[in-house]
Amino acid sequence: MKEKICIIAVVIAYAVLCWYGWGSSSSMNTTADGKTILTFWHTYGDDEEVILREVIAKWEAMSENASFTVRPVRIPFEGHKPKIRTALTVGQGPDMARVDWSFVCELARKNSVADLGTLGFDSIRNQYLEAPLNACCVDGKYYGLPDQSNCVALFYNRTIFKELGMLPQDSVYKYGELIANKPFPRTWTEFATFAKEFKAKSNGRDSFAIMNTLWWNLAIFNTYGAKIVDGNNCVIDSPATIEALEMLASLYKEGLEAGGWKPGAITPEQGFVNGKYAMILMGPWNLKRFKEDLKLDFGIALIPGGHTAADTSSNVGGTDVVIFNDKPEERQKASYRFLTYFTNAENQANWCLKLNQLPINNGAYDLVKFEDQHQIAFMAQMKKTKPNPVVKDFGLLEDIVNPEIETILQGSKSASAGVASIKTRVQALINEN
Amino acid sequence: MAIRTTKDTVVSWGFLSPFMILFLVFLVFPIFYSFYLSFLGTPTDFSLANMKFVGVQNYIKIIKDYQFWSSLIVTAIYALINIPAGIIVSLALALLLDNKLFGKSFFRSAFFLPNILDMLVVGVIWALIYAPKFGVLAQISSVFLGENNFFNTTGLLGSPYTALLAVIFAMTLKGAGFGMVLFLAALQNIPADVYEAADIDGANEWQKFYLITVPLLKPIIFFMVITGIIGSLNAFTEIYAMTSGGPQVVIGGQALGSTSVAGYYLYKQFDAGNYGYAAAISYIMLIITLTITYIQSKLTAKKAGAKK
Repeated sequence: MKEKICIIAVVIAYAVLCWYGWGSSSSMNTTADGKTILTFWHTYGDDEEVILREVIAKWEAMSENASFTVRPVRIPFEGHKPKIRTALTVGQGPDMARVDWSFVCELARKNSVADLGTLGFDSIRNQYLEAPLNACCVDGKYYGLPDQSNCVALFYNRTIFKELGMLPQDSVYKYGELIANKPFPRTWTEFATFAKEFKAKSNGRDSFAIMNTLWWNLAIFNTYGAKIVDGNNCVIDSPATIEALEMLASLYKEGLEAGGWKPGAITPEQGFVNGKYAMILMGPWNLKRFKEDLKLDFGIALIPGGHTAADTSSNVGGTDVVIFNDKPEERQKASYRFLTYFTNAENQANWCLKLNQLPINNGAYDLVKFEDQHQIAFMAQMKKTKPNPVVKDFGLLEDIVNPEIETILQGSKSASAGVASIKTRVQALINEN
Repeated sequence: MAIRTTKDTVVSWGFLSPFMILFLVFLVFPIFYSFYLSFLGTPTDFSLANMKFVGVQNYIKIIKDYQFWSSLIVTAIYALINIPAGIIVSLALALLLDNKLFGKSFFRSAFFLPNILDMLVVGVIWALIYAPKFGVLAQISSVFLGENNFFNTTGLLGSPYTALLAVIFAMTLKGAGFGMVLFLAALQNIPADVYEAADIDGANEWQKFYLITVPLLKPIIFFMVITGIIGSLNAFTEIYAMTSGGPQVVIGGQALGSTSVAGYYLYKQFDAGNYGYAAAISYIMLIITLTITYIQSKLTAKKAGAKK
């Protein structure tokens, strides 16, 4: 009998707990001392989170923010999109999140994030670098702030070139301005000649390797002024894109590009680390790893231009911070105050100096004085970037473009036929949306 | 103990209910919900509640989707090679280890081991073995064939003509251990006097194998064919790890993934947020699986009936 009473009591207690937990979600949004919790899902690493928490502490100490507290929650960058999609589907999304640049358009078109114009963004818009900010601009409205930006540049293995007596004079930069870049190939034509010489001297060693995804290829397309979409029109079949693709295909055909894009091949990054590929396109996220962890001796040059040295360009990568619009207005406003504070010139300069990253705030550029030539090279390359195409789903665009480009690189399709196929399918996708 | 009273029934259901609840929520409900989902369009926001009813449009779209049909053909090729190869290798290993061999236990464990490894891990290892220039195969082939050989320049996964075969080879070796265990168990259940009778009748080894062993192993072969078909239609991880659906091949002016099997194509649709379309594809695949299994079981039953 006693046992039965105990079981019944436990069942009733469990039911009450479930009922209470189900019905009291609002209490989860406030702290014990009554402060409203703003949840910030981010994908920063350990070093970055330390600085983030410092910024949060400073922001919370300001009198106008006394009734709020920011709770940072780390989620893995790999898979952050499905995690956020699922959370939004079941109505359990955060107040703010740090997302890949390519995700902003999807969030905006699915009406999940706040239009920053309604929160006063127009007055401070000019503070941010144009190219990364453009990734947040959807249908003329801004739905996110860039918090970290990057691009790719040309990495070369100094040890390999030194062994062959071909070491180019390292490019010299001064606070983002290229001072001298003479001996390194400045155009793709010069690059091909340089790679041929390398191949001859190295007895057929692989000089250069690329990835085949649209984002990586944009760096090369941009050096020819090629565009993928213009407004609601797919313009990938322009002569500029065809020229860029024909150049890439000829590099592979002549054995000057290793075929790092082929299924099953060693990726450019792995090959560079193992000393197999002498040159690759790479971003600043690997600087610390290459330099400090792997002790590689490498240099960084600007990506060769399509026709002249001035045509050098790159893609835009990085992340943006967004505010979800399913939360009360007061919380959206507080989130906006926090994110604009987090990305202001002073905090950005502090962030970039401590973490060796590129600023996204124009004001921070004046405050950051890098001594590291690699960082300075990236700052120079960053200034030459061009905006990425803004489409509802960049992943879907890649699904269409990447296979077609692979057939062009293989030589099983001509560049013009390949881009014509891409245009048909991308245009259908744009029209569908 | 037989159930005699209402109380017994209630108690039985009480004991069954934990499993039944999980079964209904996580297996039965998704089956019916995904069928319902297959009649809905792509969501315009992140709420599944706002998906529009589109009738049979998703199914009509499938009929026109050449990439889906291409992936189904690739799946058929994958199944047609992978299933017989898996059965032959498993049976060969089982026959080998059914003899009195030195280190038999070790080899049984060694051949079974890849089967318990994660598919992704096995896929990545094989991708490294096949990798041109730096992979094991490329290194070995360069010693015997020189630098300018196919394994070193293109690699098995780099050519549309060999990529699927390379995946099949890796998966056959991975799965052979499981088939081997099944065949071994069946082989040990074949009575020795059947072979003795065959010896008296003057049957040679091949005749004993073909006329006694194989017919008595038919239930296992049937089981492996059915699980192989289901496995082929669900194949995803090996493709994801080794080729991502490539390399591309141009057919009728269109770039098509030479290893893009139906399971991988389904994943791509789901990943892109086309839940309704992905659900419709999964139902088409379910119908295909059920049809093939039904025909197979009917044919087997017919043959068994004819022999009686």
